[in-house]
Amino acid sequence: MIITVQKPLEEIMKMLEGYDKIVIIGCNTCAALCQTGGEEEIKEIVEKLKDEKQIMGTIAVETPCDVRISKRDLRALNKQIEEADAILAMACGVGVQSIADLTKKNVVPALDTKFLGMVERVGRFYERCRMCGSCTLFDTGGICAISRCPKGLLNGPCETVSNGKCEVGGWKDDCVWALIWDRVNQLGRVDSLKKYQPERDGSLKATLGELVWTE
Amino acid sequence: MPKVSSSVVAKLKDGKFVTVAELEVNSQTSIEKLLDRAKSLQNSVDSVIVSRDPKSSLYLNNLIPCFMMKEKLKLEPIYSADTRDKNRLGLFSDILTASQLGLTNIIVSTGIHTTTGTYIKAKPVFDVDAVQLITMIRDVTNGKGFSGGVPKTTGFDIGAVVGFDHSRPEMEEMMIQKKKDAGASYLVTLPIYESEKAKMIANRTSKIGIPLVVTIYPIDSVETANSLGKVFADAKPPEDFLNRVREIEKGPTKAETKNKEISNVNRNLIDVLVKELKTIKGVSGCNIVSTKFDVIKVPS
Repeated sequence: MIITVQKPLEEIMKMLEGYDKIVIIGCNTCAALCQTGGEEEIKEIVEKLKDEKQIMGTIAVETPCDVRISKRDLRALNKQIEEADAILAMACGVGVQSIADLTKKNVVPALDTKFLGMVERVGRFYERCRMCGSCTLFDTGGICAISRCPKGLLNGPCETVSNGKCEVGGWKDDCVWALIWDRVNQLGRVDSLKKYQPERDGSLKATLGELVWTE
Repeated sequence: MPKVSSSVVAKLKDGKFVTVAELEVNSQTSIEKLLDRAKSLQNSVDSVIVSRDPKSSLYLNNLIPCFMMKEKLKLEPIYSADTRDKNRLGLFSDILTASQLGLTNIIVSTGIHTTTGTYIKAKPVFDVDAVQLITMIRDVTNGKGFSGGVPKTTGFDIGAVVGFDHSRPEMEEMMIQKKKDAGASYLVTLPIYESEKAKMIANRTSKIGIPLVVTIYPIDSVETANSLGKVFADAKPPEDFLNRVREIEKGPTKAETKNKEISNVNRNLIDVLVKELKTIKGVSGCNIVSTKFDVIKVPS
């Protein structure tokens, strides 16, 4: 799940300055679950904008990040999009870009994309993957050291861990390596942690990610 | 233990108790004061750890003071490297420079997180961790280079910092073992004020067979104690010692006299602690952070 938060209204209004006719496009998947860009949130933002802007149309696309779905769903608003001065996109950064590519309009992002997260329940989202491209979750008992250790350490905890707590935030949160140790210990596989883990391959995330299937 | 390049490691190898001082580069403009402090330590210490950006702040680079201490003062500096601010290319640029400057001893730590310091918006790098950096220095020292083929350096002794989390002793032992296997010849603790704590760590390090040097951080004010506690949770000076510092701070005497009195209180603490440390099996030396006082005579 891509976790998003809504930008402050003032920031959105500033970006919309000079644009009168607006189309609002939301996301009915991740942003809807985060309550930042689903049907309800579109209604709410319409209420906030309607006195100052001319709302030409609104739609919550099922998955705006999927160009095929966006293309299909946005057909219903083709005319309004053509006439609009700008589009307010209530989707993650990928959704915003796919909408911009398709419409070739000024697109105002209404959300900030925070992280790839696990949903415990609505309103409780936790980052669990940094998409490093080189998964070591088997060794660490299914707990990610790259995303959950603020230093992304691969060989064990740093020197400042105290009573199983992390220095970042003042020793209130669990040190993820303490959690990993406990989990792997419980699984009877502590030896897997004792292995030297070589440095990460920086090239994996050094350039634009692209995956194109070939035969 | 790998090939020995520095005299302090030679002494550790011989089983002798070493006395190290640590000086933090804590100025953005000048290293004069630091060199003055170093000069005052010339005849008292085996080596000087020159640490950089203590507590994740912004100060001058520590390579130059290391070089100056070696060239001008004939001290044996230990260059401190951490993984917070530079990727492997940046780190090794400094390490190659250290080699060219004739430095022979490097101590490696992970580094305090950027969010704990003054410049919280700076990007934390941590491209490699401490174990990986030790391994890479060892490989370069042995002429292996690392991916990309860095030329052979003059050879370094490598130290590492050891944590003291007591909640999972086996996990701490794993870290000690990993650092030793990676190529560390000795370990240095974070600041400690109780010999019992040192004993607990020494039990682990002696089991694994690596010398341990215990760090003592003198406290010049209650504020220093508080700020130290913000970066090292377990670095808590004894309450009676802190009360004495507090009393002196609040007292009517002039600043200069207060400084002298606080220096004496610290001296007493260090004297007692070092005497105790010398009796602990597995403790091979002490490292006294000497930045805050003009002269702290290190007990012989």
